[in-house]
Amino acid sequence: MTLDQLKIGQFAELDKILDSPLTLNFLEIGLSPGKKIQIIQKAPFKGPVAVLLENQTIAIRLQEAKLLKVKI
Amino acid sequence: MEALIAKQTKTIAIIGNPNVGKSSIFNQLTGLKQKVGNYPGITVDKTVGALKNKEKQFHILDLPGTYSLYPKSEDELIAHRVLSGKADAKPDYILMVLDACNLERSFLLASQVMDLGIPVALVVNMKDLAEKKGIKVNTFKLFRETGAPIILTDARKNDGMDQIKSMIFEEKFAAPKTFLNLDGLLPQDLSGKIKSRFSLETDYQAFQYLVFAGYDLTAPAADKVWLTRQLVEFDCDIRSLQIAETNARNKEIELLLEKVVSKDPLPQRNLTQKLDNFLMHPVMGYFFFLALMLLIFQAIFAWAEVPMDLIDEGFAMVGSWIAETLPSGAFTDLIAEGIIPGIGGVVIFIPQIALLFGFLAFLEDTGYMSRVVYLMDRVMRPFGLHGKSVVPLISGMACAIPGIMASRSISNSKERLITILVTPWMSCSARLPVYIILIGLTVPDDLVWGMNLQAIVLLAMYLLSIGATLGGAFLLKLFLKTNEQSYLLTDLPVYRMPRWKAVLLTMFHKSKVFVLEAGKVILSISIVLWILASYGPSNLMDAVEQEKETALAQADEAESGEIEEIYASKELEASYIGILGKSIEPVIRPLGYDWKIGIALITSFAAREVFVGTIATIYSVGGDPENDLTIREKLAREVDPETGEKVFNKATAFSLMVFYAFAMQCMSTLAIVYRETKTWKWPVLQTIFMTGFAYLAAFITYQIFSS
Ligand SMILES: Nc1nc2c(ncn2[C@@H]2O[C@H](COP(=O)(O)OP(=O)(O)O)[C@@H](O)[C@H]2O)c(=O)[nH]1
Ligand SMILES: [Mg+2]
Repeated sequence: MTLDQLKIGQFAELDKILDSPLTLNFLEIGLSPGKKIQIIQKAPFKGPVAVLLENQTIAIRLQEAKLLKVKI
Repeated sequence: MEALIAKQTKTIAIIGNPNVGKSSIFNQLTGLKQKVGNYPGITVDKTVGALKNKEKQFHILDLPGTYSLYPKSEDELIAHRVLSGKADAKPDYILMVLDACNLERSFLLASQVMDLGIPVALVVNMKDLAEKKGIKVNTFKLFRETGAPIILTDARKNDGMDQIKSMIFEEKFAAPKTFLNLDGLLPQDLSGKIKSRFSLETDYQAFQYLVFAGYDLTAPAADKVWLTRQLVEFDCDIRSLQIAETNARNKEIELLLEKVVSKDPLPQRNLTQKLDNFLMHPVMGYFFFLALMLLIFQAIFAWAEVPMDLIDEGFAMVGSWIAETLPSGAFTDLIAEGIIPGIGGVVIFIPQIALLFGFLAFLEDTGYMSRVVYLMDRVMRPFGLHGKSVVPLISGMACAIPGIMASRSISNSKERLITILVTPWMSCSARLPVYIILIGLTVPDDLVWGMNLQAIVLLAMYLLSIGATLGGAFLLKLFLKTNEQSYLLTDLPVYRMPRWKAVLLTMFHKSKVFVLEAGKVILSISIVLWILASYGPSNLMDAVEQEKETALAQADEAESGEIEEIYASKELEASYIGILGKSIEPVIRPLGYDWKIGIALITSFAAREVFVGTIATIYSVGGDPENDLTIREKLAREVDPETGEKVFNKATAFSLMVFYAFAMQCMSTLAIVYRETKTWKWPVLQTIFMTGFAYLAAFITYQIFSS
């Protein structure tokens, strides 16, 4: 499954980054495979989601979340 | 001699991720006051400062943050250009700032910088926060592993700055060990070829040449072609090389950090997350944001009123005091009628501007601004804007210039361009003087539904500007094309207590800049205006003078005052400025303006806040400066000599406000738009469109309210 399907508060591990022009951006900001990840907020009307990694919070759109494969 | 010294001054560039404390350290080292704030994207330009002791001097460069050497937006591009020597000469040393709480991410950039071959020192900042989180960094081991000097700091408390300074003066920067061996990634033959052709030292430098051959390499075209040909020959794909490089670095970093960092497991649910549960809540979060905006609005209009009234009266008193005290003559008139009211027209807005900038600094310093980006992204998207456009737009409520600069952090070029083009429609603080004066003249100070009617009209002007900004953005979205993808990927920093001193300092500094900048323009325009209003073509002026003499000779004592006043206005009409105003009157008559307002419109094209000063100057010339009427009172008394009606009636005032809301009347904004878009096309189109729209809208407004 991909990150956007995660429920708020559910823990998962980042498994794989699907190929897109944003791969490098993900890796550089700290979204690299193997990390524990959790969604802490979802903005209404399919707005962005706030994800919590080990020591940082990042906001991404659903469209970007769909590029991140996770396993529970 | 001079040149020799200049050559000896070495340059040190401060590099690091966004929001790790680079500007804080820069300020401590140089004593300058670069803006610091808890939002990734506060610094969008490079700043140079100096650090010196008795023997040595260094130039220190503060740069916008970046996550890697591969820039994704305009602000990140700046660090890349400095490091690769495209802006000026390459820096001699690099002060690499890392976040102790997120060493993993900091090290990605650090490791790239270390492989560039420029001597570096590592500053591990935020040590206070790391201690709280139970993160311990073994600096000695880290030094042994990397070969670069390490300094632990807390830039907020000035802790570790002395170590940085002595490290700099002793020039202990070291060319570190190669962090990542590129053998497995970049074919050795290729690397060798590039190194010898461009006489480079490290494999990673060669790699940089390959990566940037496509878009940002200052090299002869032949070299670029050669580089691209090599890529084909060796069957390399840059993007997959970059991804492989980043993955390899992250692996190395993980191994390194396992050795040098120890973590106590601590409970994770900290204050930031509790706050975010409320501030980013899908319902409450939006209510809070709205309430905050209303509070700011209320503060600017209710709290600022008392000091504003004091300033207004103060300037009226000073003006009349000067008129009484100095020997009467042309010079005194210039000061009492032109300069004092002109400056007063600006100074009066200090309380509001200070408050507005204070609130902005507060929002940025706490870390809330990034949450606004998150909350507003979905709202802005249909208008062709980005969540990050909110920051330029909100800053635009203070002044369009920092707003337009802030758009550099938007990576999509279409969204950035739209943001730049519409930000001048946000109601900036220079429009406030115009609105306040006109509303004060024509809207009664009554209560409607428990709200002050004047405040309601003002709120309406702000809502109008927000509506127009979004509408304009929507239109632009339909016309502009791009094939770049839009995305949101932004850090939400931890909340911090704002540093009150810094907030106050920002308020003071911004007010000072506003008064000085506006003051310069107003002073010169007042002087020019006053001269143009006092003198005219001699044949016309003489004729009026003659007429006045004969009229005075025939009149008795009682009538003479009235005659003086009538002829004062006739003299103004015969002056140069009168002739100019009269000549544009036909164009602006349909909007409800007379020629005196026309003059204010002309001067306002330099800057809007000149309006009040101009009006003050024009209505003072020939009047009696010895009665200390405030500007408002003077305008309220002004009547049309032909119809006998008040000049500033509701229709004219509203039409003027609408004109000022929409017209492009700010030279500095145009200059910034040119600088940011690098072409005159946009500022010119912007001026034509905005001013044309303003004319139409003002015309319609006048027709509605005058019928
Ligand atoms: N707690 C703590 N906060 C810091 C430290 N250094 C900087 N800050 C804060 O971190 C934020 C970002 O600082 P700034 O200098 O603007 O970072 P830049 O984006 O790298 O230039 C500001 O709110 C600073 O007050 C530190 O050592 N400890
Ligand atoms: Mg900065």
